[in-house]
Amino acid sequence: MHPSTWRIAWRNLGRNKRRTGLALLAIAVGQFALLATNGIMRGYVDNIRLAITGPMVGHVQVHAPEWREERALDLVISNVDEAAAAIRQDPAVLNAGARIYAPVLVAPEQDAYAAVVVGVDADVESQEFGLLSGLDAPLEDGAVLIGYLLARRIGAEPGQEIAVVGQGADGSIANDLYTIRDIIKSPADIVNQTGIVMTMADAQYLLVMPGQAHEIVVRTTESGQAEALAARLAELPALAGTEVVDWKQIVPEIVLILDMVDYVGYFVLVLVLIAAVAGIANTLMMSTFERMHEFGMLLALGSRPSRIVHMIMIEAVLIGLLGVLVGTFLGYGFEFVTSGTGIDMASWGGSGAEVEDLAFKGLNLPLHIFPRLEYSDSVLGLVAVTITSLLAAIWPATIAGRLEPMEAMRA
Amino acid sequence: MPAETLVAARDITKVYNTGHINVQALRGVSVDIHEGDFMNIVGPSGSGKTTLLNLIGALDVATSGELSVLDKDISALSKRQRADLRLHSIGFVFQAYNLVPVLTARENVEFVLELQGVGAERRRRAHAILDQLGLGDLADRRPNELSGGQQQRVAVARAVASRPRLVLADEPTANLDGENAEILLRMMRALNEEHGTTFIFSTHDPRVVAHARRVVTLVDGRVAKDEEREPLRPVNHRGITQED
Repeated sequence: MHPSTWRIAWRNLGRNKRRTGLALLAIAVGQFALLATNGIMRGYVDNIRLAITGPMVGHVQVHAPEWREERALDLVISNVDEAAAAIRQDPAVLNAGARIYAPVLVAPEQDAYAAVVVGVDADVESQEFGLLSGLDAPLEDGAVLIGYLLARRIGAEPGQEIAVVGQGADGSIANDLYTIRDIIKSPADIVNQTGIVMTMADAQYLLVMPGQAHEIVVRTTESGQAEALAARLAELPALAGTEVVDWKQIVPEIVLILDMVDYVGYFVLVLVLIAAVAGIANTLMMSTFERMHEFGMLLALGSRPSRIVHMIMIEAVLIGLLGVLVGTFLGYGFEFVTSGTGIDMASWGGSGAEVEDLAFKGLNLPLHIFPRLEYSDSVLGLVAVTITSLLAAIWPATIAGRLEPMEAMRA
Repeated sequence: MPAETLVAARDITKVYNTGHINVQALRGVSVDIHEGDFMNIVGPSGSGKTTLLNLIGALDVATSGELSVLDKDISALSKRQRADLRLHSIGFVFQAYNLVPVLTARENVEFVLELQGVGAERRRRAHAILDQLGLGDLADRRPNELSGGQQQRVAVARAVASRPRLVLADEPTANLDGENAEILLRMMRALNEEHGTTFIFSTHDPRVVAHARRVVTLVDGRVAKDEEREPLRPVNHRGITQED
């Protein structure tokens, strides 16, 4: 292609600075909106994924076959220590901890309240992403942690002694006294609302479940491989007779939300493309009609129509690329500023209520979001706008390509 | 040895269809134009001057008759072949300068050379012709930074830079004052006499006619008169680059 074709196309952008500027602005704002939306959505998805695959569900869970539907006390994994040890042999497993859940009554004074005992492997759950992650010191036998909403409801305070009464797995009456070690706020909403968290040994003793648990929560180093890990673990002899499922099977509603978030990104991309098409096509059409005489002159001098077409195509792509470049710069600037401090989405509610988190399906989803962009976000906008720019140029380029020199010069 | 015939027109007609009305712009024009001619096509408005010039320049095709330009039958050429003929053999000077506004004077001159595939040499050639036409210092200015006379000289430089055998000029002095028109015409006379470039003007400007060695008069689309003559004004070769 002739150098002057590029030169003329480039300099033509400056002929009507206001018009070109408006087209660039439309595309830049669109690209910025795409990146900002994708960044916020990805930050939100990160929150959800971390909450699910971290403290709440883990990447893979092991249960007795009907436990997920019935959640009956006697639907247990019998050889839980042996099963957990076998699971930890898989190189992709970060950790594996057993849990027990049982409905009880808790009585700090005279009155009793409904609650749920959550027995945990304190060592495992104290690690990063665990239910007790961030706890000052390990949880010891005889001590319990109380969800902050339950504590508020029953008026419990750290150091206070509470009575826990329930039914053992063998049908006997289960009761004991525990000291409240601390009041916790957990990503698991069920813990906040009703949870009395105690060590696995205490829970097994209280509920008469020696060597037993209701589930084993497995976390992996490769979060994208949860399904494959579940399939591998299901083959272990130590897990024979159990159900092994990955997190997507456990909370399909959340998976649906995550998929919807992706669609929001595509929806914004479509809006960006519409803005790009409208901006570029309008600019090029006006520019083409204004320059009919000039195109006629170029044809008269011996230019081939294809050269005029190339010129218009190049102008279109230049407008698109410049707009995307400006929008990308703004988008990454937005990410740079907000990724460190985060965005408090709760404060956008404007209700004045002290909302910090959003609970859904037993999950506590933080509303403080840290936008995160991926390389593919800007590339997607770049490629899409470039293609769109070329599409937007087809009409004006076709008009210009069919010009006869004399007719065009009379225009 | 007689000069070579560059343009041979035989009984050519041109009819424009403007909606329901057919306008007959040329009604059987026959004319031969020879190499080295410095020729004017004159006549009142609507007499067919520009139409004839456009046909010779392969910008349009005659409705009937035979038109041969540089031994090529124009009516038999495709759109692309006509573009190639214009590019390689014909230079154009238009009434309204018609420079590319976003290119500098030098880039405008280089433009046609680039289309012709001239490589690194084109910049030197552009500078040389601009120098010759007294525009060397203005080479890097854009058209809007030049006066009308300067722009038209750039247009002439562009038309002759590729050394075409034929230069067609449609009312080249229409927008110029007397002084600039005279400078421009002297330049073209000099190029004609020094390089043998054939110039054909469509004009009704007596200033242009004063320089012509041949004047073809069109009336109502027909050749009314075709006369050879001595130019009324001599050209001072040494003065062509000075705005005297």
